Amino acid sequence: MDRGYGSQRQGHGGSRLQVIYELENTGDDQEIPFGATRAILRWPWLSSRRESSGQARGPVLAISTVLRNVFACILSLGAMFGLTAHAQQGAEGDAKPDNVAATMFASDCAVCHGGDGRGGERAPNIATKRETVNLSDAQLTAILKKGVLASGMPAFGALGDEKIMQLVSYLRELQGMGDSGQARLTGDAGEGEKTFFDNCSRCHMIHGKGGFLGEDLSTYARGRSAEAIRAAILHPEDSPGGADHIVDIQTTEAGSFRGLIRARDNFTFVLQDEDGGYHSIARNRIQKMIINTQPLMPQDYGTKLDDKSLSNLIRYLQESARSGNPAPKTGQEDVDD
Amino acid sequence: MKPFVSRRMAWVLFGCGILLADVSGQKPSSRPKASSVRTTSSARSASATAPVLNVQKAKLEARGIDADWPSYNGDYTGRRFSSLSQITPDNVQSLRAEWVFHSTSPGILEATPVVVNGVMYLTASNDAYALNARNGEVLWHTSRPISSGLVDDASGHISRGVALWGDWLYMETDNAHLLCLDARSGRLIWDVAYANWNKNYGATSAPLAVRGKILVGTSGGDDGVRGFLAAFDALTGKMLWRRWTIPGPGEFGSASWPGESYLRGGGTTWMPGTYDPELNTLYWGTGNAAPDYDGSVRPGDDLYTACVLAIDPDTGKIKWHFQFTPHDVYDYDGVQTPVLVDAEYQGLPRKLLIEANRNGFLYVLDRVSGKFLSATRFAERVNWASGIDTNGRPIFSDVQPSEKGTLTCPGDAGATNWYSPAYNEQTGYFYFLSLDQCTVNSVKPESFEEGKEYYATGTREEPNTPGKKYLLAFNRSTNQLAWKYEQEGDTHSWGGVMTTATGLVFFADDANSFEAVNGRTGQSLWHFNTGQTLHASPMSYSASGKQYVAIASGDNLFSFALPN
Repeated sequence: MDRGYGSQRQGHGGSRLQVIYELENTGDDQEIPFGATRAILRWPWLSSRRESSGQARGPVLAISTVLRNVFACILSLGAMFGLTAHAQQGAEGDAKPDNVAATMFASDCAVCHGGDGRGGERAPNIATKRETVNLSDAQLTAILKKGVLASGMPAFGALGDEKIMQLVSYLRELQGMGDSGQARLTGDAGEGEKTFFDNCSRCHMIHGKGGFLGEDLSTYARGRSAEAIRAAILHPEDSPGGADHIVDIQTTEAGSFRGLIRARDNFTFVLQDEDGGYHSIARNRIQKMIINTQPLMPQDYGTKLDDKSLSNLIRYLQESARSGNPAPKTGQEDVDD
Repeated sequence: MKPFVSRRMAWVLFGCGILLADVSGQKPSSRPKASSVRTTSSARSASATAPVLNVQKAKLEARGIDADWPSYNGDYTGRRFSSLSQITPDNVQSLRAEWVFHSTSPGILEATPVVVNGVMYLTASNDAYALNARNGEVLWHTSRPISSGLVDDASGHISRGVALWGDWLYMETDNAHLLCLDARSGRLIWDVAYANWNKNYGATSAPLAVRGKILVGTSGGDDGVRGFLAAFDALTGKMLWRRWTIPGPGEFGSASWPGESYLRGGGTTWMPGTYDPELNTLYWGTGNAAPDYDGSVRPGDDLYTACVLAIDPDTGKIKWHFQFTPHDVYDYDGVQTPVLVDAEYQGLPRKLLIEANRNGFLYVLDRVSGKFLSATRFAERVNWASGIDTNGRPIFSDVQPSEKGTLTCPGDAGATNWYSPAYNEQTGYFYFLSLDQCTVNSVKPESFEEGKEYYATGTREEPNTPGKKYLLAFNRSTNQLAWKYEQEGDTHSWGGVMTTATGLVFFADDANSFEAVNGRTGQSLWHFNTGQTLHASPMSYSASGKQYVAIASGDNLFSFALPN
């Protein structure tokens, strides 16, 4: 079947980006109307083997599955699109309460801010809320010492400087910025950066570099333990947004499109391709619509990346989250002449 | 680290020369050819490697607005002159609403949408939307909650739109954060709080993108903040410079600002400026001095309030300034769009700046030197000044705010305001909406307090002199009004004007209608009842070869086109 882009396909060299598109013959030679498609497609980078053979894998999609998947895709896209699309997962495995600060936090802070610092009925999230995470150690120390009268935050100055310092340090751990959690990782952030730009940056962005189909990971490691990050990489199917499916649409006269469905109504699908281009496709011009059975996020990092590479990658994500917002703090200092 | 463009390596096969390909029911051949929006089939063969969005210098510096409307005023000149010519005085009667977008954000829509490659970008409060410009479908939507504890204008949660640079989109939040979003997905890339040391700061404007820099100002000029214009690196969000509009101690003009009064002197930069790439100069208006009505605490001219500033975008240095209303005690501001026009002036080609000011006079300046050329009174009633002298300085009357209240014309809403003017090179006319209205202005000393407005008292309407709005056409070559079109209505509309290459002028009238008139005569040719008050300025774009005209009204955005 001529997809109209055979020659361009060769231009990309590396097998990682090559798209292999396979249709399983349904045994029905006549033109298949939209909705009755029974086909599978597969991208080699989505499969467990890097060099994919031409064999079709997976079940033949029946129409109901197709529609259900489209629906699931839309739902998960909604989750993906929130500005604050930080998955509220990974509280398990966070810094262990095996020190004094953890006990202090549990007795003095958790009652209002929650055991994991993510907020309770009486006080805000201090583990992942941007405004709090962006505060300096000195600012946090001042708040702990003096309290915040207007909001009912008590002053803990009586604990003394050392204990307050320990509490700040523990809060940093809850924010995913502490040292103790990362000390367990021997990863090399520089190597991890290479791993990121070899594997992840096609869809994910860090500090403005990379793709946009997946979640921006600049501050992903904030408030997440290394274990939670590892799990998200190895088992994306458990994460929100991890189940986005690539959709192929073949139209009667305007060619074929591949991408993610971004909007739909009774008359059109809007598909976004990997370059960001939007294609508004009238439903009555659609010949076939094929939903990839596998999610967008590769599920084979467990075999593709060895343990060391994974540690490097996690280390890089943590470093990236620590470097935080690239923009400077803007006080009233004069920077003009 | 891989180069920034590495993400473009893949999926070139999908005809990425367009952002929004249209696979409608029509055959491609039956569709008119447009310069930048192509059909899917032609794009695939024509430009498989062209960037998706990639708004760069050339697009923004182009003179003449074609299919795309890539910045708040359409181009850097502020003329709101669209080169599109499908809609003409002969067929405009058939114009009809193609689609409506409804915003559920708090606050009304005051944005001028921006369109590039068939995608419209719009802000509403702290939300940003990408819409299919053909039918209003929401392609993405990012949302952040409105801020609490804001005062005055900022508490209205208004956002007047976006700037685009490269593949990224920039917007200001109500609490003066500059957000950088990926225009393809709406995801946040960075977020800078750029005025967070005084909670009376807010932001309502659209940023302006100039050569890799993002320029932002603030609101809060009636609430005792110190105005500034700041430039940020479009890529990193790093602040490159900040130009205070109120001089600090020892600086030129500081005699007006005793003690710490400079820290709350106003002069905010609450609308996008214009830019001349050849002169590499920004033209940015500044707001009223603060406190608004009590001039006793700020003796002298109160530089640089109620000015237009010519600013070097590389350094933030002021090349020249022109003050419309020295020692402004009328809340006149100076933020109306400074429109850049190249034309003959008294027989010589000249780079002009034309601004219809809130104080009731229309000014023509030489924008190279800042030299004052002329001022023409356009408001029916002006009593704060008897005229403008040969240096451009007002000849003041004794009308001042008083304890009991003083009838002041124009009133505090100004003889015009932030709503857009337009200039059409073909007619040589400068079009804008004016408000003929007076208010009774009072003064009472107040001390500054964070969380409180800082007007030092206020105004009330004068019931015996009801206001009236006019659409005016100012003939630049004769320095006279060519025609005026009196509006029915309650004077509550805040809608702007745009013009097209076919001599049409579109504007928001004062009785809920969006309207088109013949630019030469002012004769009304078409109108559409939007059912609500208009508080935004119009624009025009083309998608899939079809010309649209769009304007926000209330909390909806309407897009109009001719029937197929």
